Amino acid sequence: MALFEVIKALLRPIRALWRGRQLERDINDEVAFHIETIIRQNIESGMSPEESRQAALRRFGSQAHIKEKMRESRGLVFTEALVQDLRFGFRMLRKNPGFSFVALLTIGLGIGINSAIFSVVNAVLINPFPFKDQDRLVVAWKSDPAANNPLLELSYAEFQDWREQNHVFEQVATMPTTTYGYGFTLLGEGEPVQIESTRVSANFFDLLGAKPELGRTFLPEEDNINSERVVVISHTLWEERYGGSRDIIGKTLNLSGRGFRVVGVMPREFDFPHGVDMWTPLASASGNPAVLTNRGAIFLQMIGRLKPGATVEQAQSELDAIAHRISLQQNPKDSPNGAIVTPLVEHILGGTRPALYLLSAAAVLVLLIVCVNMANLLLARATVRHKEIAVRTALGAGRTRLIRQLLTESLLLALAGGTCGIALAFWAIRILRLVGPSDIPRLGDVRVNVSVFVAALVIALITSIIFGLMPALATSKVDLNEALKEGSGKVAGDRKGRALRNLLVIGEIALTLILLVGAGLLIQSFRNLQNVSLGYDPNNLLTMQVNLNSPKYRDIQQNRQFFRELIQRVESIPGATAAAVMTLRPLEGPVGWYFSFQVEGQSAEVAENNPYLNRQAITPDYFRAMGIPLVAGRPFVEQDTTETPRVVIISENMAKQYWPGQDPIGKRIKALGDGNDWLTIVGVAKEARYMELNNVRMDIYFPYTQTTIPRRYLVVRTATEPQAFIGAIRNEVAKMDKDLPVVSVKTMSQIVSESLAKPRFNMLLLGLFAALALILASVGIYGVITYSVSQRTREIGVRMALGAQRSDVVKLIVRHGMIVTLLGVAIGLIGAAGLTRLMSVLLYGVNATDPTIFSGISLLLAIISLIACYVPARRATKVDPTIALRYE
Amino acid sequence: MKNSKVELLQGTLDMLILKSLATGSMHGYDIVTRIHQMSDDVLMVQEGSLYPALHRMEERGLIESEWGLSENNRRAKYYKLTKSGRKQLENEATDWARLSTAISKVMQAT
Repeated sequence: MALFEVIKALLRPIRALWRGRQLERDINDEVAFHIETIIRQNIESGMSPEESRQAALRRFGSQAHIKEKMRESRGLVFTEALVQDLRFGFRMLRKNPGFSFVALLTIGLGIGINSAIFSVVNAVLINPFPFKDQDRLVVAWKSDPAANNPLLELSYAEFQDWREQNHVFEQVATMPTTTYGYGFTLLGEGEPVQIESTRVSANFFDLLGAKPELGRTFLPEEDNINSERVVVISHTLWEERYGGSRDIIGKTLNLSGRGFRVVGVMPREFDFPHGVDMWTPLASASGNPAVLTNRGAIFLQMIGRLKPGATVEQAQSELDAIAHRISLQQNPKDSPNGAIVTPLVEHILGGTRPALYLLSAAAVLVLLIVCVNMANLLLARATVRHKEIAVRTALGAGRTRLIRQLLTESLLLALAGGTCGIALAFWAIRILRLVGPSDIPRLGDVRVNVSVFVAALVIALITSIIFGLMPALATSKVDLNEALKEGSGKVAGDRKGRALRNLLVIGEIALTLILLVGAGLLIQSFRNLQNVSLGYDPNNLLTMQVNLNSPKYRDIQQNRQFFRELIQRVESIPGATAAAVMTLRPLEGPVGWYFSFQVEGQSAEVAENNPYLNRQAITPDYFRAMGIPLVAGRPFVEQDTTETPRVVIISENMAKQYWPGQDPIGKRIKALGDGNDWLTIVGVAKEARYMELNNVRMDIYFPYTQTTIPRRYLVVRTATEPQAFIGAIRNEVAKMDKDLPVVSVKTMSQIVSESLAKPRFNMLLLGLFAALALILASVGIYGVITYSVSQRTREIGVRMALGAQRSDVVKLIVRHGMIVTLLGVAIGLIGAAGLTRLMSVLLYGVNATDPTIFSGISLLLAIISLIACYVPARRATKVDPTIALRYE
Repeated sequence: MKNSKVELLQGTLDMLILKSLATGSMHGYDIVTRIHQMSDDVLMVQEGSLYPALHRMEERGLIESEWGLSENNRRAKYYKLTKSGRKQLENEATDWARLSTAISKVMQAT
């Protein structure tokens, strides 16, 4: 009962607000009825109507007072005052549209940007993956510490050794290190389509703790090479291609000419590896026992679940020892291998993390600047309202009531700003999802995160409350007489206020400088990447994947014959000036065919330390098609066959390193290892950027007629716009084999631009943040100088009346601004020097403490701040001394 | 119309209101008149105290109200006792009887 009463009492004001209007009407009616009744009684007892009314009102006493007491009984007072405060607050915001606009925009931007960026960070980095106990999952690769190539794939036999010999893992599974080359062509359902796919050991899903949405995953016996071919498909494929029908289970799909029975569908959130739509058991899908037994076939990585309590370091040292032992058993002469163990989550997010950390840090800086700016604005306004508050105090406003009113205003401001902020966040996330680089995992799942938004809102609230209340707290200590006179001089609290504002601007400038320097570095880095010498001409160059993975091309002669004819057909299309086939087109990621070599005359021990070459199998017209200059020697010709001596073409940087000052033509190299053929160098080509844009490697080319390594990409040099040739080329392919899909058709300039997407994205976002910061900071310094000018109008008038020149006045004011600016810049430079180091992984061709950028940005900031000071200073000199002296 | 003013003891107003409503529902003016009559024209409840008290008592659930028509067809707010109001009246009546007897005894003692 007592509890019930308490709750009722607590609820009363809320209920009262709810019923407020109704109650107000009731009270008025009730009082009116009462007075009327008295009047009627009086008339009945013989008074004149006018007299009766007078008497009634006299008897009733102060209606307002009674009504107020009635409301009080109803708990209406507090809520009513709140409504009043809110109304007043809105009025104040409307009365100062400039202030309100800047304040709302500032808070909105700060909250919006932070909500958006941290929602992305949350969805991509923090949200758990759909794996059970993801902290115990690791990825392990082999490494070759001596050969300066950190990562090496495992062969299936090595994987089996690792599985049997380790003691740290509960369970291990394996899959290829890349999805490249494991795609299927889905046939027999209309147009042939290419489907991204990977092959896994049967326990792959069990190990990850991932359950299928429909059907089952793989059974242990499906690790057998002769077991039935089965496939698990992704939710997306299931939905988009098969309409989410449950009949899919048991259906047999024609994948690159072989039948696979669908046994399961994975749920939508299971997207590992990123972008894969089909999983097949490694053993049955390859159909070739050699893949599993040949120790030279290295293409796998191991995924392991650590035993409870086992650490990544333990796994690292144990696998290191195992890899070491195996390599010594297999190749006692080679330098021993090691292992590299990475937590799975880190492996998946690795490349994405630094950029997202950078953007989060930048978003926090923006929020800080926003808070500083808000504080500044509120403080500046407080001084303007000093007099108003004094008047209200003089008229009897209580201190608590004053504080409550200022509090309401601050809350109003922060909440309205928060509303702008959440609108902005929704909008920004939609844009981020659209323009974000496609290789950021899980970017598509990003939604506005409520807790992130609330956190940003709370920070904005606290700022506006602290700095919104400051004037009320200061004023309540102020001598009213002094404050009301105002013209007579400055009140004591004001000097402190000015110092605080100067400090805030210094902080703001320092933060802005850090953001600007970061953006400057990314811009410079991006320009460096854009101006990288690619080695080939990306304009008017069309590329596409023609994947001969159907069994009928398994014979290498068939394969060669197909491409020979295709190239002839394509080159006969008018406007197609050259066509060629290659292994892997440029900028498909840091994957490819490596080649470790030994130069004639080099000992095997020395050759161990040679870098891996990027290997390509090409057709004769390749260099002409790509526009790669042949620096010396000859291109390949159809006459280079298995019957003639084996020849290769190398890149210029390799020629310069291994045969400095000599003619490399005619020199010989061979694949590292015993019994390999000597290869004669017949040509030298300019080095080209194959795996990544920001790294030069050495290249080696083999004639497609002398090697069996795959060739999958057709490149076509065109005389005009390359997109116009797509139809004709597809046509030629279809004429040769109608079941052959032509996929991933892209112009080379498109590929180059895509590989710039991530750095461009980072640069644009950070640039945007820095620009915002710059605007906020200039508003901040402009506000402070304008305010200080308005405070010193009298002083300026006196100075000018006493003969000071305009330039003296400008100097006086600008000096104040510049001292503040330079202090901010100095602090900012120190901060930037410390912080930009952390972003060096994201930079290309520019040092994280690049002096040009540091000094350039400082200068830029100083100039902008100079302008922000000069405008109000200039205005001050326009003041007529006589008016200035009378001012206030 | 001259009334000798008698100050109401703190807390007795609520009791008088409850008592006057014991016979049935009535509006504010009626309550004033009724208390006036019942006290042989001694007690004149101030409107300034009556209405806040009515609203307070309604909030506490001792009485409830509804709008009805007065004898001359005007909209008026009628109050009546609730169950807990009736109980409250009984309690207060007993307490009051004990208290007033006690006070009388003290005052009559010589």
